[in-house]
Amino acid sequence: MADITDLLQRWQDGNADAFDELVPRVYDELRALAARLLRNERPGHLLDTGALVHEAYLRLVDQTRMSWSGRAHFFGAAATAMRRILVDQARRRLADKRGAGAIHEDIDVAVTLSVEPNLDVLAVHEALSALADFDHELSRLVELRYFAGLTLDETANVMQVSPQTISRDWTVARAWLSRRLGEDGGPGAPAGLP
Amino acid sequence: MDPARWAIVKAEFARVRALPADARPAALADMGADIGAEVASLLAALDRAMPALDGERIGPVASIGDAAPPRQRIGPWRVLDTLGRGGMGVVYRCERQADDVVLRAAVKVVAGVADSSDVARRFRAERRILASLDHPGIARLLDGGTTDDGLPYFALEYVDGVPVTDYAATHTLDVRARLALFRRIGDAVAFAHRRLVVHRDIKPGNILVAADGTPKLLDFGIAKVLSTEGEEAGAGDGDRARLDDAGLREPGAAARRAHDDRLRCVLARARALRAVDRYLRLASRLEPHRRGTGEARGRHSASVDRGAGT
Repeated sequence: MADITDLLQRWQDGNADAFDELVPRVYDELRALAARLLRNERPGHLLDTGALVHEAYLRLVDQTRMSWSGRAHFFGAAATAMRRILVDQARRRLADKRGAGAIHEDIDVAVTLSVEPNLDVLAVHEALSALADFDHELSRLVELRYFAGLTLDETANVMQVSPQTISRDWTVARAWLSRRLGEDGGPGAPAGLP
Repeated sequence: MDPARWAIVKAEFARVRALPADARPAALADMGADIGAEVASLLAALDRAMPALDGERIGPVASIGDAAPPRQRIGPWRVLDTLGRGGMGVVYRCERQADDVVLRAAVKVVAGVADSSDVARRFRAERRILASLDHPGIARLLDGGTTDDGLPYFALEYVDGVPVTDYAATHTLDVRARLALFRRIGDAVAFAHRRLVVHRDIKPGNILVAADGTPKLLDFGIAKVLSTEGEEAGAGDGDRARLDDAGLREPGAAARRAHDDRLRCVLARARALRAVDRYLRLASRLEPHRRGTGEARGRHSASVDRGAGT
């Protein structure tokens, strides 16, 4: 099996299949890493996805063979993988709550996702899927920011546009998301005036 | 949505947002009804965009699940239950026996700091000052230290209350009551500033209002202790320095930090005033039906101006 550094290099060289191969690999690695990190921590310890993704990069990618843009590519794949992890977890939790009697195959990990402040992972995921239908780039931007926890500058690097463009698009994305999530009476709903 | 139409909306949104507020309605009117409505609704949505999406590094937080056993003790504190968790760590409701009284505290265990010994060191340096903040509007710092497993913790006076914004909304406070509440919060902040302690992280979640209506500020000075920057963080900031006014021109990082907070305070006031303004506009629309005069509006505005003048 090709290693992650090789897959990154192939993806960078324009091989789209490499990305499809990369994401599940990064998915597994991120979950294993989260489990390992959390196992060494006391209950209640929080691990933010941004830190996790950065940690994963340092552990998984051979730094000596990787260029700056390879790093950006890794974060791109990691954001997609992280999104899948979070969505899978959220769905599983939902199923548990509904009393489906599902048993965690990874109860030892029990990586739960507390979102601050109570932003619903599934709602964001569905909103982003809808957004991708007419603005794939914007959806990607939010994925990188929200699921991989990248800063604006890091996001600009991954998407290969200027920080100014990212900053401007981020504002639009926030407005759109807020409107979309607010429609369901979610946390984006305006506070009532007397 | 059609991608081509969305591209127009996006561009117009950026253009209108760059305009001063008073020029926006005309610009929106110019762009055709459906695009204009779309842009206007996005602008409105941005105003109430979730703070969770505002920060620089954002995103969900992974934690050990519900299956994990809760903490039993933190230093001398006995854990009763969990009050909440956030990016900074977990807050527990705790108590401890001190002579013949039972002390209650909200104990915050800080996770995710790079170097907890650094936090502990800064905490020791600050604790005497923080513990001296004895004001009815400030939740007292009771104690702090390191847990058995090496994480820094802070014990704050336990406040049974709700965030100020929730309080105002659920009690449907009118403008006068909101400003009165705001003034009491300002008094507490001013009290701390006179002792050269700045909060650094004033936000609704850090201002709880008890059932009897008393506001209390939480986490006073904690942000500084947790800061990963140097002691003089923010001191040399050119933009802020230029904004200095005569009253704050004396040298010293403390004064500059106080200024920092002051700016935040003003910002909070401005936000409150924006809400007031919306309220007044709403009220003026309702007023003719109720009283048939605009007098009430004038009176409100005058009191608002006084409130903003300090």
